[in-house]
Amino acid sequence: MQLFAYNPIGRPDELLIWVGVLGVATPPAVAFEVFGEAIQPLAQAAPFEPLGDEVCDIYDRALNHRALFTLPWPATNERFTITVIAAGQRVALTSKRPPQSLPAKNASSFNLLLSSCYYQPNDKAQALTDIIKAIKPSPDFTVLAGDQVYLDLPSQQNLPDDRIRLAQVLGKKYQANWFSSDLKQPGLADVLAHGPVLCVPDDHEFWNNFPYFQVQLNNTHREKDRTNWREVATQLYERYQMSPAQSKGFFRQDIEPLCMLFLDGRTHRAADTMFNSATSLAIEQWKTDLLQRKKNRQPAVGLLSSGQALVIEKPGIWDRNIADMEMVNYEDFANIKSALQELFAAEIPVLYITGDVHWGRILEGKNQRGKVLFYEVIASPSRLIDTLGSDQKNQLINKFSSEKRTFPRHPEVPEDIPDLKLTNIDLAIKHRQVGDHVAMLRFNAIPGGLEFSVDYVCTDPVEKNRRDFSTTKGPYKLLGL
Amino acid sequence: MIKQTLSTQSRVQSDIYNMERIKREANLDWLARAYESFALEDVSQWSFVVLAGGKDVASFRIRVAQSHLRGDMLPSFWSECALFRIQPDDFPSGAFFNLPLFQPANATYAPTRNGLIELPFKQLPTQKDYPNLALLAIPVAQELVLQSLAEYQRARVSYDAVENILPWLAYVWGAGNATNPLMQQIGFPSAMMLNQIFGANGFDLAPGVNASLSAPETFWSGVKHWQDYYSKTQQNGLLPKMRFVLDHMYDIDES
Repeated sequence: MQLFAYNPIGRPDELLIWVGVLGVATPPAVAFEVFGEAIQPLAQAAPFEPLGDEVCDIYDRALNHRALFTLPWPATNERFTITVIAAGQRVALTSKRPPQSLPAKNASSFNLLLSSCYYQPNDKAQALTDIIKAIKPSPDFTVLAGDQVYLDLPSQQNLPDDRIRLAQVLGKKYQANWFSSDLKQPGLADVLAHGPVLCVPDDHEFWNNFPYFQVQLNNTHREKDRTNWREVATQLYERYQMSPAQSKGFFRQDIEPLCMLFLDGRTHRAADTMFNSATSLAIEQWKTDLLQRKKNRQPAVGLLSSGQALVIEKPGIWDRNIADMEMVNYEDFANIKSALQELFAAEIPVLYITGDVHWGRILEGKNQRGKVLFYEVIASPSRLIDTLGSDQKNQLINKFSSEKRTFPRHPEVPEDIPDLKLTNIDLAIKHRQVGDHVAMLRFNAIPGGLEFSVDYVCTDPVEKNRRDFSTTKGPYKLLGL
Repeated sequence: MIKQTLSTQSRVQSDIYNMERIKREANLDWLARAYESFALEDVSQWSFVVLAGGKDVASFRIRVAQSHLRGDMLPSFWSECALFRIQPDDFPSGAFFNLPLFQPANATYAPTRNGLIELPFKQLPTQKDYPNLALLAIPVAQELVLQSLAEYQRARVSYDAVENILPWLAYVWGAGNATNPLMQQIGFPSAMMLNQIFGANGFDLAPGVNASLSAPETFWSGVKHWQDYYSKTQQNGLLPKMRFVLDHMYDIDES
């Protein structure tokens, strides 16, 4: 039996533990220890359920399962270890209760780790988790901002038409990333084991530019195949990544003065829209709450996040069957835009964080009076995918170029900023980041708002590159009083 | 050294062993005997990879290039690898598929076949040319692998296999200031092909290294040292097997 456990983000002030077991038809009883003492779960959200990979024994009984447990928070504000015990095996994870409000400037910061786009097959030269574990200060809250798995890669893979076989093949990719400790392989296990963790889905949780068919992906050409893939991928996402706190299509958590809203713009994506109605309502509520705080003379700063960039060039409609559409392509992008316009008009600042694009960037936006009202922080990728053909071409160009690029396979950060017409906000690029990396956002409360710095941590396997390309930007102030 | 993930598996039972030649057994006979020794119940569930180690200067340079993938920094035993298509009921009609650095003069224009060469079973070089030999049985249906191979041959537009041949040839010949291609993340051509077609079928031939570093040495260490990994990821319960014979090593004295 293989055992793994992590702490996905729960409903506000809920300590949620995900426990996964592989290779057993009847999952064992699970016990928990905190500070060396047995602790009873408050509830088991659901009995063990199959992980959705259709791996069964000869009696057709599912062999791989997961369950969610709710534990009482121990009486500490410090990070603590939870030991999960099942069938004589023990695994350890850690968690820390999110604070009610950001720490003041003279105290330790609240640290949010932003990581995205992790391709396990390219993580064998220097495991990403070893680099993340060494980051100081350590994260208090981890956001995996999309593409935690690449179900559609390698692009030349032969995916079966049969639904059960398809689930087995795709499930194996989740197993590689979630149960990596047991496999003695690089993976996300150690990142996940440092809770709480929030996973935001993006297209590769399904396939490139889901839900559109993709020319290069045979299994997306027919409606029947797309339906199979969608159903299998959705179940795997729900069983591995999605906390019940996200099931409506968003996750909301406030750490004063921050009102944080994480959007799922992918799993409910249709031809013209990204969000379900609950997500759209959550955007509206988030905006209203921020306006109310300001009205009540309380500092108000919004943090918004989804699996895709906000300020990005709009792809042409003809690109949708070979490349990824951006949020700006969808009708309900207007919901985000109008919320931001209202907030900016009330001089309430917003920080937007995401991944997706395979480069990093900090963008700053000021209104016409020069007040800073907007930042966008992008961190992507943590471990780059292979792009057949394009990688070879870029390496060849680099070989014969007079100016050698350290990361020839990574795309360059765009020079220009697309005009999104965000209420006369003037945008300026404050930082560009290339190569594999993650970002640590360190927050402190200051009078009227917050201050944050961004540590871009290069995660390249080459130590010299990690030294040369790791940098701290900021502090940046966002005042919303 | 090239960075990779080291296997930390405890000792696991595996179907891997050194199978000495009987007297001066020819390579073809050794391969047939190695194949028989696997005693496979359902051959259709398997496909086969051959590793070969030569002792000429080109092989020497390829073997030394791969020493950076070994903890002891010694030359690899291997200088070539190929897919071995087996006809179970007609073993001599089998064939090898690889991307040789020295493309045969009588073959068609290399770019049209993405550098891929089919070598009939009986044309395998002798034990004088390839004293080291290994046969790997990989639990992926040969039918699927051959399907991927056919796609690979037609896929130069998306993946240019020929491009990897040139830096390796430059290194082997010592052209200009050519350096070890592995140090530039340029995998050995035949191994890149094998890793891609097995990867396309959900099997990682080299769990310890990034795919861009594929080389015969990484398959050798993959099957030898990652059995525990395969035992946890192979849903059909079948684990890779290997037979090998090592009749040539360099005389390196560290005493």
